[in-house]
Amino acid sequence: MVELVLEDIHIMYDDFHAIKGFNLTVKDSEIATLLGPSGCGKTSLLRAVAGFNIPSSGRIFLDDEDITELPPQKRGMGMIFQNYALWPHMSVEANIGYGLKVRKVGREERKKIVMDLVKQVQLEGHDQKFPTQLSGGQQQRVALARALAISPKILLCDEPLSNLDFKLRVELRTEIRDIAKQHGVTVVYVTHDQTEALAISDKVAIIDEGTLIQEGSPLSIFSNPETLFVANFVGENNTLDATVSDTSGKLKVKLKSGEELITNVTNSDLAPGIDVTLVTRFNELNFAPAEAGNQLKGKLRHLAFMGDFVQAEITLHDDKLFTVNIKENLEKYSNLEMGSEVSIQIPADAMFVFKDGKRVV
Amino acid sequence: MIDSKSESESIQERITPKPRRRRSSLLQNYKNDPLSWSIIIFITVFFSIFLLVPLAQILIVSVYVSGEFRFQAFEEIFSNPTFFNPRGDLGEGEGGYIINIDHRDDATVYRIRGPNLGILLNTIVIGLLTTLISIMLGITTALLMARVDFRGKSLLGGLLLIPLVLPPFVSGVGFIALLGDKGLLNERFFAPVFGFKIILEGIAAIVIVQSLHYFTLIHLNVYSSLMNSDPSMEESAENLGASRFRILRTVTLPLALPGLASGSILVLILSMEDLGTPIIFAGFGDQIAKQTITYYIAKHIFSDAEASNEIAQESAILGGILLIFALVGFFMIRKYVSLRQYSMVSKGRAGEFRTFKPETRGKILIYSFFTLLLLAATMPHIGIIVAATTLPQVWPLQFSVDPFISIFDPDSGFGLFFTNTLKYSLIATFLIVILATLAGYVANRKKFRGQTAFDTLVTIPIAIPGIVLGIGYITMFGDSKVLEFHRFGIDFDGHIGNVVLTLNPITYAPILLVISYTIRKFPFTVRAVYAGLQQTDRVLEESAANMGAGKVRVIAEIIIPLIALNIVGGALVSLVYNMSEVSTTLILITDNTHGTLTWKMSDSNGKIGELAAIGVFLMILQSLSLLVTNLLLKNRAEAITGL
Repeated sequence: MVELVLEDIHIMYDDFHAIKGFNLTVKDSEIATLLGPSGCGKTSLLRAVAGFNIPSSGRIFLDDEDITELPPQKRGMGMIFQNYALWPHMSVEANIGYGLKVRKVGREERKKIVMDLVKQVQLEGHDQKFPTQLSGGQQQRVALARALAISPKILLCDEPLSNLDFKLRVELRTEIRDIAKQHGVTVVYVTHDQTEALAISDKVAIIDEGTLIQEGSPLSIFSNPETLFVANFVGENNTLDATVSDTSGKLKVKLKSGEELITNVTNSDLAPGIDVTLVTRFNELNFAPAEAGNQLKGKLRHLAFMGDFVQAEITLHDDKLFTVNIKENLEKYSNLEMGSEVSIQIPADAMFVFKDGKRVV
Repeated sequence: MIDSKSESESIQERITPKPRRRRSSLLQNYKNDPLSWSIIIFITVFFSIFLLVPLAQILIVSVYVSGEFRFQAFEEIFSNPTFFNPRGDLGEGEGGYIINIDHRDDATVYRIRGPNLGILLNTIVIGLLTTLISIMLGITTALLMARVDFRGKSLLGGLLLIPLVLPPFVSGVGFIALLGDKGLLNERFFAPVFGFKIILEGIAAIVIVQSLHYFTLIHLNVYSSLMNSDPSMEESAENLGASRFRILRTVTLPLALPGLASGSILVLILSMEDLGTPIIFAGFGDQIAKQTITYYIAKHIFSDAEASNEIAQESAILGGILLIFALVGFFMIRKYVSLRQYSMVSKGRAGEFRTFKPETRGKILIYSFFTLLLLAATMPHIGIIVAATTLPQVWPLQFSVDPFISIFDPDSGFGLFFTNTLKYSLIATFLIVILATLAGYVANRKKFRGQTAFDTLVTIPIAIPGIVLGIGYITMFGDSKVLEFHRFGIDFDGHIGNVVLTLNPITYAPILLVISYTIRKFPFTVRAVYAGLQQTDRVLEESAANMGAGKVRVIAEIIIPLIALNIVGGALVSLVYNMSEVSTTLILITDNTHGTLTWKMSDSNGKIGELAAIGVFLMILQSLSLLVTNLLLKNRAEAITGL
């Protein structure tokens, strides 16, 4: 059983408070992702877990042992880095076998473990090559094998895919997840890419400005954002400013253009006149049939063909830009003239309502 | 070069700095990383005893003599025209002049001498003029090589390194062989053909000899700055409509400024502390060449009156002045360069530099410039080779190996000098390789309080005048009752007593010499290590630590294999400079049996054939070392030669 506990971690640089009181528990065999924009402190945190940073205060426990100040080489964690960090003067085999050599594993057994891993990461025939002879994707596979070779208590991943192109990123993230699950290894994964985080994780921790904002399964993070920051960070959204107009039944809000929308917020202390923020996902909207309620009107500005959908940019009456991903009747809508009047239907349950950045339901 | 420690503090480091951590106890620090701390402690102690304290002693001795503070020597120095004579109004023979025309029967003699402003000002004038001329030559060659298109550039690139294989004082011998009163060029070419002779002497001679050597340092620094900047910087200026000259003035040169600045300060320091060149010219009877700080110290280091080995106060003061010049220059350039870290602003570089393609007239100018420069710069080499392989004063030239036979004569002790040179240089270089690799690694990679100070400690010796360190050793380890106050430490003779240190400079001269070589040429290897580490991503060490490798393992298995070429290159540069070291050697070695080649050269008054023969030996040794360095490091070699 492996359990990693971060307890009230603070990381301070000379003039910068990078991590401000961070708590997180990662359970056995769990893939936990630290997700946040660049500069949010997620890498600092990962480096603290690896032992390259020592937190200014707070403790890190691995299976109840305090490892806060344990040197990196004694932690038994494997790590893969954004730029692979393979040793250019060693062959693939030597790279993967390094940790075993340090652990004084005999030559034959080492060879066996290494070759087994080489096969798992699909690098058969490349084991005598040197890192510079490999492509980026192959190098990161070597790094993965190298980290797994020592049967790490925890596998740490520091944005391992951000130097790769899109297709390879998708391919490799599935591979990392599969191999991690096969080995039953506990993973702490750092990324700024929300799709990657949602796709790979059992648990996502969203960090902003050094603080944990929300923690939960990918589904709960996506469908139940607790703050405006999380809603905006996960998924592609339109954000609208509005004012509460009626609280008698379901919350009604009024936009600057005068248009009124009904939300499905019921239980709240909001009073008429209070400012709120509405967030809607591009994907959950559509052009409206004339008779439907909860509509916004605007002028069509641009249609972008995205493959299996069309992305429509609309200028609302208050001059705000609004985006809708249209997945049905593509042919019909593709013929619309730019500047023509369109209505967008906004289902009540497709709207998140935030007051002062906090979700109201 | 601009890659002081601050450059190696790369972008990556700023993204992932070490966090400020709780202050732990010294013992805890040590236990967490015993290897690094052992190195830090050892180097600090070693450099304190053999660098900092001896230097501090000089400053003390310059004001504190025979148990009391005395300042008369200062008044003496500034009121005595021998030392300080801003009006330059010394009499016939001693006096300075720019050029003196003497109509002799056989030829008109143009003597180019320069002023004589007294020892103190002469040294400063020599330093400034050499720096100025070196800058002008070095910038021109660097710009032409980096931004102008013409044939034969790769050949020129190699030819421009030729001056480096002859230390300036050996160049002096070559100059005298060609341009002395009896010089080959004067006697056999200028006089018979044109009816005149050009004789270089005094300040002018020293400045020209030094400039033709040191301009290569400026060239290398500026050239590498120019080549390492991002071509798109100039392209974007061009794209915005700037003219070629405007780009040069507003983009190209400012970007090369840090390299230029550090190269210039290095030249200033090396020029002022040069003892060999004045000694060679003085050896051939040049009276004005004697009027420099280093020459004065070397001749008057011990007080005449007491005939003891107490350092004369004047020597200490003059040494102190040299030292202060060097330190101010060093710290100014540190500050300046750390404020201007251009090279790291843009990382990837796209494409090649857009070069200027000159018309025929421009090409003629360029080729004439290089021809003249190379003729002048290779004159010393030709001079010593001719002087070493022909009979003196015989025309037509007659081949002869007499000078070599003469130096190989068992009585001449040449074999001993040769062995001593190799012995001292190799031992020192061996120590440098081990210590500087470790110290460079720690100074560059470990974050600790005092890291900047430690980095300064291991790189500052490059700026320390050798003669000053030499007299520092004598004041510190010398056996003089008057100086007992200053002495402390270990007793190599086994007397512990009242903490009197007698690492007697006479008996233990070779030990002190090797230590001084080790310390003074330490920075070349440290800087080579820095340059290597800069190209070695820190993540490579982290991933090894992550795999369970301890510090020793990381250094042995990851770092050293990756920067091995840099270490070897740096060590060779250290070796070259050790072999041609003059000033400390001359101060410390008083005994024939401990002499080196350079020591012998400074001692063989005016026997030009022998001097030249030894010079040829030094030239061959240095050419080989530099050749290997360049083959190993290719264009990384420049990184080592700056401050």
